[in-house]
Amino acid sequence: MNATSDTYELVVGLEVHMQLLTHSKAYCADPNQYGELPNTLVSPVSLGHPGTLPMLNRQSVKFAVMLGHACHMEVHKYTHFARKNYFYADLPKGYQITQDKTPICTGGYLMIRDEKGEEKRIGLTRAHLEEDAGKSLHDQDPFDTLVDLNRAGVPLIELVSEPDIRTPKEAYNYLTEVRKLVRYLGICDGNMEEGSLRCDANVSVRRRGETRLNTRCEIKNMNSIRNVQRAIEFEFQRQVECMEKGEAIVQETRGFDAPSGTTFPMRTKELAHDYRYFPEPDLQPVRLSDADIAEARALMPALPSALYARYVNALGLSAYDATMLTNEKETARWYEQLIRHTDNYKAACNWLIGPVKAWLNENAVELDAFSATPEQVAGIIALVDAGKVSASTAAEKILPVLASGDGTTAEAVAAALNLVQDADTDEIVQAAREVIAAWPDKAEAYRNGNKGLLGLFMGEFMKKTRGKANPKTASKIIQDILDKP
Amino acid sequence: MAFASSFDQIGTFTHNVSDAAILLEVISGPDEFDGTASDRPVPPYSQKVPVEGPLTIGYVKQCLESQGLSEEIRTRVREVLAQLTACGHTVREVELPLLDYLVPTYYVLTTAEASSNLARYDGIHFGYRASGVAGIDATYTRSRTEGFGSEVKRRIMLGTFVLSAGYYDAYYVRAQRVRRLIAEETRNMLRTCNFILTPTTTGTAFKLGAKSNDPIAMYLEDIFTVQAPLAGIPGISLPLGRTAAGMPFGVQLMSDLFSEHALLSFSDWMMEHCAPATH
Repeated sequence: MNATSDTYELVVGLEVHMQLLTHSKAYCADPNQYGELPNTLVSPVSLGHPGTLPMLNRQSVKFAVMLGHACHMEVHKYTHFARKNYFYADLPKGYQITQDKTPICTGGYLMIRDEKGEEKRIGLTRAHLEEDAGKSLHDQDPFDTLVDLNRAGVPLIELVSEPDIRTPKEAYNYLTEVRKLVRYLGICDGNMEEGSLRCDANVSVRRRGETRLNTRCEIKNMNSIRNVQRAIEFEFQRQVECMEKGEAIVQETRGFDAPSGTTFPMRTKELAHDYRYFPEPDLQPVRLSDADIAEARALMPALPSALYARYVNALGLSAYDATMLTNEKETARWYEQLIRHTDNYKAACNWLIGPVKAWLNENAVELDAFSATPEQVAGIIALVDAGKVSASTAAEKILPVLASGDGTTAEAVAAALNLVQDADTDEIVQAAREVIAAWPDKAEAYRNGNKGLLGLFMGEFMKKTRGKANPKTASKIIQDILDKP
Repeated sequence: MAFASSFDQIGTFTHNVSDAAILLEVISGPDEFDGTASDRPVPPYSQKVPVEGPLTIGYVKQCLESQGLSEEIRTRVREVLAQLTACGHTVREVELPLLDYLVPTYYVLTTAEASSNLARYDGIHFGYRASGVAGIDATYTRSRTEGFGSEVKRRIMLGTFVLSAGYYDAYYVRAQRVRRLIAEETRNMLRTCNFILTPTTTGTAFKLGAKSNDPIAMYLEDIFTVQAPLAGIPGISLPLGRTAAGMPFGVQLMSDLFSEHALLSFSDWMMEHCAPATH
């Protein structure tokens, strides 16, 4: 699309809806869970029974404050909720409780990588809290649409970006960054296939050099980050073709058809709803104190951008290494544990993203279920650094034992498998000779058949070496010397 | 079920003030299924506090002089004010310049909220469902057209209109602002007096359906009773009058936020000391 890219510029803003990982729903105590039998997580409040009232989930507010801080947004101390009115079968109350004029967070930005890998700042418009609707199931019954209200009332946060995204790849990178961030924060699991993270793209096109925004289309139904990129790629071409033919772009909502990679019209603006927003009278406005905000901030873990900067600047890792370590929260968490037990930051990184990840992939194990501890892996690094075991031997022989949960320390495994290199054995031989030389009469008695005296030599040997040598190896060496005077 | 959430309040009908106090004591206080309930400790409303005078009772001159007020009610309210003075209390005139805006403000805001609260009666989730209709939109339209009565439909239409794009600022937002002003004016009145006294209604009960063809006249019947919910303050209607024809009517008392205890105690005192003279 280079030829068209020279003439036309793509302008994209993304709206990301994220289901929050709260225990209960946004406005009642029903469990917030995915994958349960339809209509089992519903109380009269979720069902919108007349006479029921919403009660605000305070945890959802804390999560919104955390996201706001992570994205450099202004967190507002006073916000209220609003009703968005529309009729639909999966909306029991006939309105959605959301925020309209007073979103909890405004402004801010997110840093992403552009096409060239350079840092780029994407402005944020707002983030607001709202509730999810139920799910209409159109394919479960040949005649009727069925409705599952387990999702009704699940808390959502909607994060709206400025139209700062200029290429489909940037949209991909932005979403990857958002997903990484919310996973770090532990506020959303970011699973697009299950719909816990959903994205709508507002796409328009203009001639390069123009500054005004042209008529946009809103694209929905993209169930992966890759599909968001594909939908925007298609939409760019489509709108450019319209402009080339001199046709007007119609403001409309378009769906994405993944198999064909195309978008299609869903509804035009003339049919757009008038949502008749007004302040929700059933909920008191939210007033946050400085203490509330501080409490939410205290719950925030180190963020990937901060970790990345520290790994590059303070630990001297490469940009590649720092990226690999911070892409997933669990990897960074593990690395943080690991460098508590070793000062060799580079080796720690290499071991984690190299042999450890390789073992996990081969054995289909997730890092959080890995049996070897960071302390044990630090032990491997110490062994290698001391020249006692080669790195490849350690990876091939020692790591699998620790990973299967069988070993105690890397050193013990190395000794048990007799992997410790010669330098070490020489010391044991030397110590053994000295012990035997100190007891010439007992050595004589041993050679004459009193094999029980081996215990005496072992005891003396262990005293002398303060137990540092592997007993099995030592016992074998002592026997060898006694047998061959 | 909710009509207008920001106005709705449990209104109890009781045989005497003591019963109203007992009921209020039971139903007040925090509620884990209602985030709008105050979490303040509930005073022992059922235990009367002594009425230690002299208290100041305010009345709005425009209310008493309004054209629509029945003569019998006007006379009786003036008599009650005289009875209060005779008992040593102070009666004073207070201003309510926004009186004419009470009913319009009330109806714009309550119908807006009602139109949304009644949305769940869509024939699919709740309420009457029209039969023999295909398709979701037709089911909504037919069910709601056939199921709601004309007064309910009038209010849903009015409420939907005032919230619609293009009209929202002119009606709903403006009414919200006027509501705030009414609340401020009311609170100011209560800075200079303990209670505000008005007739409860402009006339006695009219026959069922008598004013259905003139909804504005019907809505204006509410002029004295909408001030308390607009301002968010407590009010009580005391059966202190009866017309020559034997029709009962009330005298209304209002007081400041969270002053229900004093309001109930004074109401009890008034029932004893301001009874109509027996002829």
